[in-house]
Amino acid sequence: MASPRAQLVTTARRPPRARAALAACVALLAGAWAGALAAEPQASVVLGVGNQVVAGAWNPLRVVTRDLPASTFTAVLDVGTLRGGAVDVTITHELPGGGGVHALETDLFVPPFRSVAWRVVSGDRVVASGSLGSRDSDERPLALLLQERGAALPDLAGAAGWPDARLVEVAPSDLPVTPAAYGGVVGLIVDHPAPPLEALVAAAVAGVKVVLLEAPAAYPAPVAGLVGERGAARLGAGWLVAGAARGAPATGLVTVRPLELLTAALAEPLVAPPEPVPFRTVLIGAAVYAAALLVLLRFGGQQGLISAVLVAGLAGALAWALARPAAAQFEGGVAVGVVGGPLALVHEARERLTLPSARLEFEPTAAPALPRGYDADDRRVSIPTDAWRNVIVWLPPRAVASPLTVSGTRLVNVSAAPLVGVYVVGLGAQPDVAPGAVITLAPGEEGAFPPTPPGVYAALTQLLPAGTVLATSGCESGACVVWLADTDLGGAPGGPHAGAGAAGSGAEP
Amino acid sequence: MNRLEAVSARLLRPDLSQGGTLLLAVLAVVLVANWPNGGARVNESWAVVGPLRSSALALLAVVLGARQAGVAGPWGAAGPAVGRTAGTPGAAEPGADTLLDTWLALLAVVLLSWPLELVAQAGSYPAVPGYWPALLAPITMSGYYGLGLLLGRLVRGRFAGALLLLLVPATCALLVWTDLALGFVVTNPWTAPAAVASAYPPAMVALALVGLAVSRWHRHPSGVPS
Repeated sequence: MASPRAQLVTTARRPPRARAALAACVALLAGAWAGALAAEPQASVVLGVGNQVVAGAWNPLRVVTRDLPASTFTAVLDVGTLRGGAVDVTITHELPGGGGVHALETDLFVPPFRSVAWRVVSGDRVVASGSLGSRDSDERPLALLLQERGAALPDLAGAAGWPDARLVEVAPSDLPVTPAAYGGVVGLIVDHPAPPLEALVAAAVAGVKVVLLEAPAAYPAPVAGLVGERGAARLGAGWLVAGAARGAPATGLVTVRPLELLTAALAEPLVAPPEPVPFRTVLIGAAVYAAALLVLLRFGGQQGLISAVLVAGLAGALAWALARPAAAQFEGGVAVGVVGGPLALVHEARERLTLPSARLEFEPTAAPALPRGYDADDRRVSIPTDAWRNVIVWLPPRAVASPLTVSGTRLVNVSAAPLVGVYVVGLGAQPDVAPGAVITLAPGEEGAFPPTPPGVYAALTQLLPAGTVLATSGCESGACVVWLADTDLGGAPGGPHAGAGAAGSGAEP
Repeated sequence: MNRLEAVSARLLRPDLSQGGTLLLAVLAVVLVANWPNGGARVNESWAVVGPLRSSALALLAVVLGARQAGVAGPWGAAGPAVGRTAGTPGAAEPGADTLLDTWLALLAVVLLSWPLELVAQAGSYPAVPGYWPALLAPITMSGYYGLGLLLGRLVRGRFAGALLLLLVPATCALLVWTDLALGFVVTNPWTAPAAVASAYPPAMVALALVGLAVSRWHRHPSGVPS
């Protein structure tokens, strides 16, 4: 065996031909590497979880740019109909420039569409583009399967239960971490030893049934802690089940999609147009005014003319003061929060009525509840609206801390705001709960709904299972949230919602 | 006779008193007909009342202007009952006085009919700024009054009455059609109230000035224009 020194000498004494071959290999390798880098696109766009768009739901949007100067992402969605023609939604985001990788991640409500076309433009150069056709406008929800790449399809018996859903295989990096991004997802099956905790929480809070195929002990401690030793727990509007508990039937609030609850809450208009001056007043006023003018002009001479002008001024000022509405625009809002464990999912809607035609502006993440044309950018959503018309927009659902806990018949207000209008479906009205106070739920007057927000309780109780608690907070500041929580009072034994309000508790299904 | 008395007298002349009465009646009826009733709350009455008032004022002004310049006798002496007559002591320019009296009387009609539009405007809350309808009515009236004077001057003569019956509606229709065809708002009194149109006031002022200039232009007995 040659000594290291001898090896060094041998290397040093390689003939020139061998050195040339080595250099050629290195050059080839470098060229291949540079080629691979060049082949990587400068911009990529992913719409939907696992690039699967769910129409009529919130979807994640991820735009990644590499080594690109400042650029602009533009997406145009045609949400029109065959009969009505094209109705364009234009969404624009400015992308930062410079070396390295930049990612824009946001949530986008995608209405049923006829086409979606997107492009990334840097200067006057289109660096990436793509489109979807009407056949891609699929309203079926997604059931996600998270597993290691190349793994065999697991036994999904008892984990599914979504006959209408599209099964999509995803990697951990595909899973978004905002609840809004799971708007079109009904289930997440986890067949992965290290699922991302943040994504699991976001999915569960959003109302997704998260199914961990193995027993809790098979997962890292934070994930196992989510489901508890019993293997089932409520979190926000969804739930997590693990191992043997994965076949648990859904009961309680998890049987209702959160967006359906918000839609029900919008059954009554949130804002009403101002009351006009009574018709009879206008009729009499106009007749008297015209008659008075004619009399003054006919019999008054020049004094009559002066008087008529004065009467006109007075009548004009009076008409303006009486008939002018107090404001040009009126705004109302309602939010529905589904409580599960320590977290709650809040779905919020705003309604704005404009008297003059105007472009109504909302937060940049808002989306109209009904398909219509609008423009959105990083600063605002701008919706052209005709005179005396209203617009309802949805805001992306978000996770917040639960304001209340329910354990048995004990309801505790753990928030800083009083809970008013407390009502239990099937049990009746309950007393208000001050911050930090505890009440015992008892039979009360059924159908005694609070007046604010108007009509919301009546609409929601049609959908909610017996035993659901409704409570309201924030109305005094103009931001009413109707909180919903499961109790054991509905007569449905067990189920994942049992003891839902108790922080961190997980009940045996 | 002072100016106020002359204007008052002009308002009582049958042409203007009947036109003004008709305008008030139509506006009142249209306002009431478009006011929300029976539980309805959407108030879009101004969308009808505003354009109607503007158009009616234009029509009244152009008819009066054409009649005054084309039919009502020798220029500058529009008849014994129309304002001050030629030769009245103290009347330096009888023709100009008559024009001014009629214009002021029309301005009075503009003022007196304004509250009926104002109540519709207040209730409807249109997107146009408040000054626009207030500015629009007098300049529309002035512009179309000038147009009427121009037309009357053009056809003044034996068959002026018959010719004006055709020429006035034809000219108004042509102006409106041109606006609609070209997509502009320059001379159309119906579409002008809906949005601020920067070309409209200059066009109306120009029409008024041209009408005034043509009406003041007359030939001396020697045949030399003065």
